[in-house]
Amino acid sequence: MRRSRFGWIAAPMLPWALHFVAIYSLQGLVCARGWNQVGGVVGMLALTVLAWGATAWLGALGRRALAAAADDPGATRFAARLVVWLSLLSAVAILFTALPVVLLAPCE
Amino acid sequence: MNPVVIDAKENARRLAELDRIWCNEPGLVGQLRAVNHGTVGLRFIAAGFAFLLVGGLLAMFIRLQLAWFDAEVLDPQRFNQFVTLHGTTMMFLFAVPIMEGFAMYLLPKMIGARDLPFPRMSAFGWWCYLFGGLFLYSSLLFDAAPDGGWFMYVPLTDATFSPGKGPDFWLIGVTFAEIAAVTAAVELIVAVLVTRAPGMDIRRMPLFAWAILVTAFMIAFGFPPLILASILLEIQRAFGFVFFDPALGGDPLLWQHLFWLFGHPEVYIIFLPAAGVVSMVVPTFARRPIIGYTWIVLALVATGFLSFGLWVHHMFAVGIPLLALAFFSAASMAVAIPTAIQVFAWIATLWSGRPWLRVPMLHIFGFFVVFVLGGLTGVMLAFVPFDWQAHDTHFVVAHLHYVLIGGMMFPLFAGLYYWLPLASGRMPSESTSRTAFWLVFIGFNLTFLPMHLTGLLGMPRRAYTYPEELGVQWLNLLSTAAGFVLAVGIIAILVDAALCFVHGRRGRGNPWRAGTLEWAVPCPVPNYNFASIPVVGARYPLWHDRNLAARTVDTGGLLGDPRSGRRELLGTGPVSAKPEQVVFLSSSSWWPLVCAMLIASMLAFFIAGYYLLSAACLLPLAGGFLAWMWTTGHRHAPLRVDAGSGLSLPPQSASRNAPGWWAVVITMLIDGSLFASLVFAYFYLWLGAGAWPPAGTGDPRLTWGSLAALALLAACWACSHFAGRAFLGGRRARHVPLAAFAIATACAYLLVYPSAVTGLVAVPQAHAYASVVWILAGFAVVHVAIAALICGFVLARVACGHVDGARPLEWRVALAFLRYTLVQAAIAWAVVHLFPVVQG
Ligand SMILES: [Cu+2]
Repeated sequence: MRRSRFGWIAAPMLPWALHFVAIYSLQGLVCARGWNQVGGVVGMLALTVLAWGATAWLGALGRRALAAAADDPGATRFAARLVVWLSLLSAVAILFTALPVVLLAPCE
Repeated sequence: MNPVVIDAKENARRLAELDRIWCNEPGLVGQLRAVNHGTVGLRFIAAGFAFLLVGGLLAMFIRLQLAWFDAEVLDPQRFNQFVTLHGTTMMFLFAVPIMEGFAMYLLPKMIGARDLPFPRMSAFGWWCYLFGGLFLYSSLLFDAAPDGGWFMYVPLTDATFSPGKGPDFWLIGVTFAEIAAVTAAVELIVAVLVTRAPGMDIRRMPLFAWAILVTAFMIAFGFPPLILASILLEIQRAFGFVFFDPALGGDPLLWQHLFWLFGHPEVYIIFLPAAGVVSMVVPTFARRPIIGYTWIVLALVATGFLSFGLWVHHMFAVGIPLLALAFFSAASMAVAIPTAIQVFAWIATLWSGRPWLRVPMLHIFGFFVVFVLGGLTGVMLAFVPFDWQAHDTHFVVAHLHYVLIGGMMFPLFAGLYYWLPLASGRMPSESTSRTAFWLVFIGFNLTFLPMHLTGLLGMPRRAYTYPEELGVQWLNLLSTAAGFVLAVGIIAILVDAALCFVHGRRGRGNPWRAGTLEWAVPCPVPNYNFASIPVVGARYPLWHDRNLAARTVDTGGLLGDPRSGRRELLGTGPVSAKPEQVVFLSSSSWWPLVCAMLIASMLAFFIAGYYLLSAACLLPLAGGFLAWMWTTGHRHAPLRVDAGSGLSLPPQSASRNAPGWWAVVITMLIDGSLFASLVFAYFYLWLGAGAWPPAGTGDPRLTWGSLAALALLAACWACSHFAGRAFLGGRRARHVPLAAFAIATACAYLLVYPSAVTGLVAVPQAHAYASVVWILAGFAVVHVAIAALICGFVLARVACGHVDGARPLEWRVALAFLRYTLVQAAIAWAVVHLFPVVQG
């Protein structure tokens, strides 16, 4: 099904993008609207876990697709391999983006 | 798919027929009507280089002014104008269009196609680009050149601080020219997705095609924020709406967000195609396939995303909380990873090959050196504390020129020399081209290397002079002198390239012995590229199959028989590249030029302040577009087309993956990005406001009028849904009234909704809240109106027999767009009427 689609290749980067937008917006809201800062940090960390879960899930889907296409050297296998590696990269990028949340206060 | 053997006489007849079908008409008229991708692509390239020269000339004046601390070449006003025009020209009129020109010219040849899927749209885009550029420069004639910097920061550019016409010329001219970027994005995405040669599945696509695909998607998401920002600022300037003025609830930072949301991805929009060029040139001159193909594709896709997480790094000094800055700092550093992956793949390829040092390779080496240096200073600037130190000094000027010239211009020249024999059929002069390279390389480094120092010493950018005590005049003098060496080098390259078309040594096809498909076309290149569509079995088809080039001049293969008398393209599956459809293209036409001219006159009236006349141009413009669309399509296309080699395929009007279908999908992405930017603006203003809606700007309560509008949207959706089912089921008697009713409900919405909003919300000049609500509502209304118009048009086409249940493409497209606008209007409705109630 999805394995034969083009867009499937870009899917692993989507959690990164959504996570980025979400924590940036949340941070802006917390500071501009004076919401509880601890709550904000917890929210951002929760979003990070969520995004990590999404990339892990996509990576697992990619690995399954890769195994299923083991005997087929064609385009599907290529796409699956890209998905696996992009999930990994996306996971690293999410971690990298979220790292400052534990290092800095939200509204300085 | 075995080619059939045909005799020489029949082959010659077919070739002559193909030539007749695909050639431009003779003379000036033929040039004005031309739509062929080869012609339009070369035009983009020529115009791009012309703008490079003009932008470079401005740079020379800037350098002269800065050569010494008390120089008086330009007065401060002129200096600002030249800085603005220089940046704007290089970004919008040179870098992006020329890469699109390369892509338009090369992509079809590279993927084994005869043309781009929407030739008239490419021609239209070129006219818009040309007219937009001329608009911008015509400001000099009226002594009203923009002087707010290429980033046009507000409030400097609003009506209070720039009462002249300068910003109007910028906003309108640049937006006009950007139509080309957006249409090219649609065109190139669809070309890569569905017109690749059979067998060229996604793991065999040339890396340039991958790079263009990713870039085009980035344009689709990155340009709309800037287009929206330009429209908002122009509306503020012309009609007194409020978006960026803090006195009435606006926010100047909104401009910066929207601008850099485009502005940073823009750097990669320029760099990725250049990286694609490098990935094509390196294997040829290393004489081996590229190493790490998968990694490069991965890097391209990842860059496409990560580069959007960088925009705020241009705003490190505007007072945003540290944590937010850290997010962008992290993303700015993360994006270095995929770029490094690509650089390693290129170096590994050269390392393990047998490199052959010809002129294209020289420019690649120039690229390596300069780009890596620029990347290093980029990582330095990604650190917030360092950025605060170097902010707005010439250090940043040096960095950005290293990245842009290193990352874009050197690969561009490599590509120019690499593909010159393909376009001209002749070889460039080796000695001139080497001299020119060294002039450019040395001139460039001596111009910009000293700027790192002057910047660290504290020389501010964008200032027309500097004090003697700073002690930077000798460094600046060096920069200026070297700048002229650089200019001479660039002129030498362009003259060399131009002379090659006349005086070059006649070359064979494929003089560099490259492996990719664009070198399979005969020399000189026919307008149809391939006499029959090649079938691809490897990543480097020419290295894999020695006879492939010979077979492409033979008409025994796919689409070799031009019996339809029309321009035909082979459509293949997006992932698998299996043949799926025969695409009939439209041929030469006046309409692209006429429509671009109508837009030009509309915008000219607008700049001059004749708003009614400008609005009056909308009617002929809509007529022009409808007339254009009416002449497209192939009414008598059979339901199965014989594509040669025993292959029978449906025409695009009956195919699921029709180019038109993908075009509307991509258009909706672009439009959706525009709409999302507008919604972002709404919430951004809300974030900065105390009360929402603020006192005295009206009451957003759910009135009967607004609810009626929502009900009409729902009714329209339902009608169109059933109309679509009836259509595909072939029940025309039911389809026509249902579709007509859908259009009627859309029109009713157009009548009801504007009065509902104007009754609820204060005049837009009162407050930013009112302004943004008016624009949101107006956006929805305009879209529904366009969708209704398109549906009416297709209904007329159904009545005239162009479209039916077996060839449903046009109705599918219209329906998809209608539904998209309905959803968008519903979201706008919720934002306007529901959100203020919900947030209490
Ligand atoms: Cu940037």
